Amino acid sequence: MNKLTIFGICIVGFFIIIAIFAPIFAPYNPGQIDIENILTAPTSSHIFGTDSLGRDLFSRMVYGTRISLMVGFIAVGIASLIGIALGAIAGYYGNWVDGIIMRFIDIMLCFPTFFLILAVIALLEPSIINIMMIIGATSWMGMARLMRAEILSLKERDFIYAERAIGASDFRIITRHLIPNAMAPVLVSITLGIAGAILVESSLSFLGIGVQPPTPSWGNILSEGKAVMGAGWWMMLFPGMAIFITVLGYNLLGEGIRERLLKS
Amino acid sequence: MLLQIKNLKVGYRNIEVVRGVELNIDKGECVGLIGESGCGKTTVGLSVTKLIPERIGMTSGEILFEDKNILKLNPEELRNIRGKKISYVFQEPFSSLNPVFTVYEQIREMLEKKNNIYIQIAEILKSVGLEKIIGRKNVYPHELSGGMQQRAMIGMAIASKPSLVILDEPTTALDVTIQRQILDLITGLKNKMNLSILFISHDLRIVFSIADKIGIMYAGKIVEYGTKEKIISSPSHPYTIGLIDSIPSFEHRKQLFNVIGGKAPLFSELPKGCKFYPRCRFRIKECLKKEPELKDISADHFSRCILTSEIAARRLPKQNRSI
Amino acid sequence: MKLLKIDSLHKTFKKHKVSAVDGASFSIFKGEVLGLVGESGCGKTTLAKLILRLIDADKGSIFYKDKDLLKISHSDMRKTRKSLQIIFQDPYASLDPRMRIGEVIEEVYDIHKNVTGREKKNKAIELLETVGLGEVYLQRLSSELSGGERQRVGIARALATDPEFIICDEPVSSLDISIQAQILNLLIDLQKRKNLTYLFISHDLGVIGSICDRVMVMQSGKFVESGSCETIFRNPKHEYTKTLLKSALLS
Repeated sequence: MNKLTIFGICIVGFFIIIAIFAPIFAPYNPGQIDIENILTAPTSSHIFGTDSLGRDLFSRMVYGTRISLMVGFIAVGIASLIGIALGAIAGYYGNWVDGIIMRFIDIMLCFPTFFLILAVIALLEPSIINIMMIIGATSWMGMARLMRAEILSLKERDFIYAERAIGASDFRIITRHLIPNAMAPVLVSITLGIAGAILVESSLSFLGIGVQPPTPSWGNILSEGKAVMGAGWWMMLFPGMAIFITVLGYNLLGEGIRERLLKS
Repeated sequence: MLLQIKNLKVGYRNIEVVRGVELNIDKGECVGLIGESGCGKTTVGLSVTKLIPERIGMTSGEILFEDKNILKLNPEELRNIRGKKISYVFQEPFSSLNPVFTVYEQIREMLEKKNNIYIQIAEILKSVGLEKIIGRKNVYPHELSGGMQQRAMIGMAIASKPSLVILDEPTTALDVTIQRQILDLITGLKNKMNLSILFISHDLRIVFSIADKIGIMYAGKIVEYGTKEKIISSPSHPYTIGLIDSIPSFEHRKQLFNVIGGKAPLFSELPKGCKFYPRCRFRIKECLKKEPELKDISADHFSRCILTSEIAARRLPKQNRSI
Repeated sequence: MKLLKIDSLHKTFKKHKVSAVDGASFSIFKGEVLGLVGESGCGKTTLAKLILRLIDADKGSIFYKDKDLLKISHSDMRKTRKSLQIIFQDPYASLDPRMRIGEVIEEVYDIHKNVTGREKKNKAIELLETVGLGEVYLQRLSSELSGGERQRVGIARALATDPEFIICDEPVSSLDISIQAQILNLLIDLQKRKNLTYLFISHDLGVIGSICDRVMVMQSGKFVESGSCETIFRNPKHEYTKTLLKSALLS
């Protein structure tokens, strides 16, 4: 395996472990306010320093990892459910079904996604659930196209004809034979999609319409840091780094998967 | 002797797939190399002009072409042989032709003398039965049918007036009627240009129809070698007999074939002794002792089997056949 | 007895605009091996898929016993499929690369819900043995098998529904000659033992001649000649049949 891929896996694994065991890694309660120690630079007791309310930045970052990854995973989960289902249906049934779904995808792709999200959030309230749903609902088109393309070539293969010949139903053919065999490129897209979703969540939270304080997420910590940029460099450095490294990790992993699949 | 292959061995990643092949081709002679997929026959063909990259394949032995050992030549000397004195025709004409150049350009590329180009090209096209595109300089490969593409490939192969042409399954991708035309074309060119041909194929019927001498390869070695007449009338290696008995025909309709059981061994798991032992109908204990040498049966007929003399007599009649 | 009666079957693919199958009419009798010979692109594979309704015909009728396969409902058709099976040309494309051999065969029973539990495995083993493979193959992936072994699995899958009619679509043309003979033997033997009816499609007149009772010769979507194997091989009438026979290198 490629060294960069291993590096990507390490990064991804590292943050997943942090997210799962957040209470163990975090030395303080992330919401605990300490008026005595406002905006202290990193020290041995607060290794990432504290924020403008005196909360331990390291603990907030650890819990923020949870939120950011959760948003990434669930948003992409929603996107892949929609994308895989619609792509598979369009590819398998073809004709007018395909026409309708593909035109719908074209329409979705015409919207500038980020502004669509902004508009929807402005109407709904900016909660974590809404954020995940809206990111998911606006990022499935690529996967649907990939899935459709794979299925178009797979469905002409003899083993699919053989399934029909032994009397398998369409549902069985799609779910048991077509989708599993078409998953490879979609998997790459999912991995890269997670990185994308984390970025979108961070951007929204940075703009103040994503995850709302006091719940910590990398984006809103960054946003708080912006207000005190001159006085507390650590407030922007650490969340910025976390976002950067995570996104890098998923991208490396995605490239690694792609390379492996291309080889085989 | 135009080409002499002596004890050729080729290994990919420490696994030998050509395990000591001897083969001679005389001027104007067509030698057929028969074998099933994965027996090493294509590797032999590619080795003849050292087309197997050194980082992939370890090659040893000698390949003497006009008394020069090709395996010892430097890249520049090789370039003077490849495509000039020895040319290739591969199985898939479409993937062997460059899709972005016209047929004319691709044939011109192969010409040795660059004078009177159009007359030369017209002659070549005529000789391979492509009169239709003479003068049509902007015809691209995709505008031709499979058979015509293969004709164009053969035209490129003979454009440099080579002395040896290596044909690797040249008709396998083609329909039967086209196949026959291409075979007739090859035979015609061979006679007209006094070409030497190494014809590689898995199909006995095709090789029988075109070759003067035939080598049968199994597990990286030639197991039987002889003139076409000898191979057809008195095949001596059990593998050859099995192959000939496996040819489906109207004459033996509705009878079970006298088949070779099992499947060819992997090169990484070759059996001890005779490599054909596990599938052989005539096997005895002695076969396991060591791999037999090629043995003279008669003039121009060799077999790699210790039982050769007894086998012909024991060849089963067609009816006693098993699944 | 007529098993299948096909009448003026037509199929045109939109993309190509030429008829892939242009008015095919013929009958297949119970217990015979009917050969279909033609060159690539003549429509023989399309015809095979039309008969099993794997692709939809433009017009025509296919009577299996008393039912017109083109008129019966989807669910009826799925039940009928048990009796009509197909073996494909390319054994590398005809098995789901992700499935184990055991799963490939047991799936047939899952679909038809006629065999359950342990019985399923026993049946699968029995079938694998019928086609010359053994119990050890249950756990193998198709990617670990050679072409001949895969083709045997394809045959076992076709036999799993206990069909009376099998379309063999170039079942040996991508195999090495020694393996080709093994598979032909297996097919001949199965046909005799189970009194199967075959529509045997091939471009190879040698193969057709060695296995078929009757032959139909197809050229660009149409039948140009048909008759007993004897007649076609000894006394061909149509020019195209003559050309085919002349080209076929029948030794």
